[in-house]
Amino acid sequence: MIIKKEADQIISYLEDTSNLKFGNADAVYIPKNEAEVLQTIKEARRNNTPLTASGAGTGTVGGRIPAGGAIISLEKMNNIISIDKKNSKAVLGSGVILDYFLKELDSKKLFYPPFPTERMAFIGSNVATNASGEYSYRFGATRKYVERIRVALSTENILDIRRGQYIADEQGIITSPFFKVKIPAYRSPNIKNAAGYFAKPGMDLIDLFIGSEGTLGIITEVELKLIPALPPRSIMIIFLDQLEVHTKGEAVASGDLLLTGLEKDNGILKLINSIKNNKKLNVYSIEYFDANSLGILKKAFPNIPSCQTALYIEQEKKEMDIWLEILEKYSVVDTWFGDNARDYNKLIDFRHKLPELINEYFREIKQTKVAIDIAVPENYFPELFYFYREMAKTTAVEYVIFGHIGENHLHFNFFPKNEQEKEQAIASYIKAVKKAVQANGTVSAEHGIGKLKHKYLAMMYGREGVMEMARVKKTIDPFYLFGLDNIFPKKLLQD
Amino acid sequence: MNTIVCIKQVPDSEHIQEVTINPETNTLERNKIPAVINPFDVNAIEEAIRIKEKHGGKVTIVTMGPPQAEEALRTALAMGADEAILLTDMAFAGSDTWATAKTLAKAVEKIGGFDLVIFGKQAIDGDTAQVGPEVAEALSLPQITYVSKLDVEDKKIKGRRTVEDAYEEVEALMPCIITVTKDINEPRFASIRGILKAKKAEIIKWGKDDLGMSDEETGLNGSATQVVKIFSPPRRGKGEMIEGVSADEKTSNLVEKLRADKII
Repeated sequence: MIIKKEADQIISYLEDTSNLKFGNADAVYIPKNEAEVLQTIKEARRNNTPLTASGAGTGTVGGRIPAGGAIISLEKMNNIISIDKKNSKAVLGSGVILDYFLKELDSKKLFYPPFPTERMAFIGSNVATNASGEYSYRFGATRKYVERIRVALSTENILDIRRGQYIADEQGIITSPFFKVKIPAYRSPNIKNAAGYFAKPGMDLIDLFIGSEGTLGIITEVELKLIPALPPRSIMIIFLDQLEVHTKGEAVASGDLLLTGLEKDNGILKLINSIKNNKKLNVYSIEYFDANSLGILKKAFPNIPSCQTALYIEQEKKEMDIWLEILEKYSVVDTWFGDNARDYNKLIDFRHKLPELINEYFREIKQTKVAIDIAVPENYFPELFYFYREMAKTTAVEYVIFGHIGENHLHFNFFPKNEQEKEQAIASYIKAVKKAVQANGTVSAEHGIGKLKHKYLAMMYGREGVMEMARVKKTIDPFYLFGLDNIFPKKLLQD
Repeated sequence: MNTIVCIKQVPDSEHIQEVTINPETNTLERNKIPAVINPFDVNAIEEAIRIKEKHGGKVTIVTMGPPQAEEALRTALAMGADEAILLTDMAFAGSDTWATAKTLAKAVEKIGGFDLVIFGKQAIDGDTAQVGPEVAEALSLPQITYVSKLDVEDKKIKGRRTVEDAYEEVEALMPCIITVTKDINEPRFASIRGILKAKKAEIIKWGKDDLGMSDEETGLNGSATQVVKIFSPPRRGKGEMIEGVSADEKTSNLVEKLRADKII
């Protein structure tokens, strides 16, 4: 096993895209197999130091940044153990890089539907964070595609969990060979969600580990469900103007949670609904860009016309007549369409470029970004959308709004220039989180909680809910070995 | 201000791995991979449309090729061209650059009333960069090749001609011919309205007789050159990654391997 102890060897493991600066650790263990993972755990137990699992550093909430102790990097657990085309499944070491896996699948005409956007991420990290991806609108997040995992526990055992094997009984108890755990009493919202432990009556133990952000054990191996390679797709970008949302007053007057009022106009939400409800279209993703996003993107795409909004649609067929029918009711400034490989790839870049440019900006100004990642159930989305628009009108801080509008999930990113602006941004952030909580939504749809969002998780599930998570953690990881400070602070474990 | 753009349909280089060559006919097996407009020609179309947007007039697209080249013309129409002409005839088969240029020149003459003819600097399949200049010679028109920036003034154009490590500013009186590089513009994408309009548009088809050409002038007969053989180079061996945690370790592993293979 490789063990790195020199500061200059460790330093690259102390960061991710959150730009958090507190990371420190005494050593990095790089096991090649399960035996070495167990050996690492044994050593951490002996030294009585916490152990933080490290993926590729693509996370945004500091999940892999260690708050002391040692790091276990899964980078050498990177074998594709098998790809079984007949049964459409693959078994992989947890350190396999997603990009490499996808290319292997491509050569076998297979596809991994969660398709997370950060291609350099490790597949085990995708499972540990329930990563969602470019086609989440169509296929959902990682959870749905995980059939089996192997996890090294702090009790120095390997637990092999196949979906369906360990199910919560009527009392909410799951019994495994190494522990008995009572599942939390709260219910995870039935939407895109990456906030805290998953919980639901009659749940599967595997779902507790998926999205547990490295706090319960070290995932060593995963078995994933696959589908046949996707048919050719095309991308269309629709540039729109003057899509007015009704005022709150009008909407309230019409009663019924704003929805009625908002749906009456020819606004963007109505357009989204008509795309979602059109059975003839075969859509993979619907992404939203506000005027500020387009302003930033102009650096890379100078031909962007001046307009208010753009929608990015990836789809299977080009039913141009249907599109014309849908779009003629709206104020369309221009449409860009790409179906040959060159144009398609250029337009994919339209989607990827914005988060890249934003992250670059934050790295430059050495700030942690204030990025709202909430999502709400579909019927509440118009209200949230309206709320975002109002927030945009009133804030003095620069911002962009973009993201996965097909899944009722937009990113509202603030660009604070100084501490005062940062405070304002955080105050707005908290307002948004309250909105999400009111609507039974989630405080984090895809970024996760990590070390950045403890407070918001507590707003979502209440102190009691987070205490329940800590209780689960104490049962499965009685030595508090793994993922110190991820999801909830250490002190909660000692209460 | 009327512009003619001559384009070529080529195999999509994004699918380069799938390209095969028919050993008997010495030609690319085109039907096996998707076809696209030659990338430099897309810049040519874009430039013509920009000129139209600024100075008025119309854009006519011409291509010589098999019936399926119609698809390339429809893509050009979807971008915003006004008219498309397909030069298609069994007699054109086997044309080299000279026969192609003569045929295109006849078509340009037949269209008439133009101020500017634009080509991409070369096609990515043949890579000759000859057809544009040859058409200019055939029509005795001034030409500026490798244009990376174009200004249209009253009766003349000013082109920035990219040469190695420098550029030249060249003026020419219209009508004239230019060939363009990728740097000249960022081509637009087709729009939905454009695609629907292009779908319904009529494509004009001209054969040898429409151009008043003889059998001797066209196709293989009219070609000064002939491809004797075309083949795929033998595949190079697969590279090997030298493992190692540090640069030092990788270096010593490499040296060890070179020694073992008796290279050093």
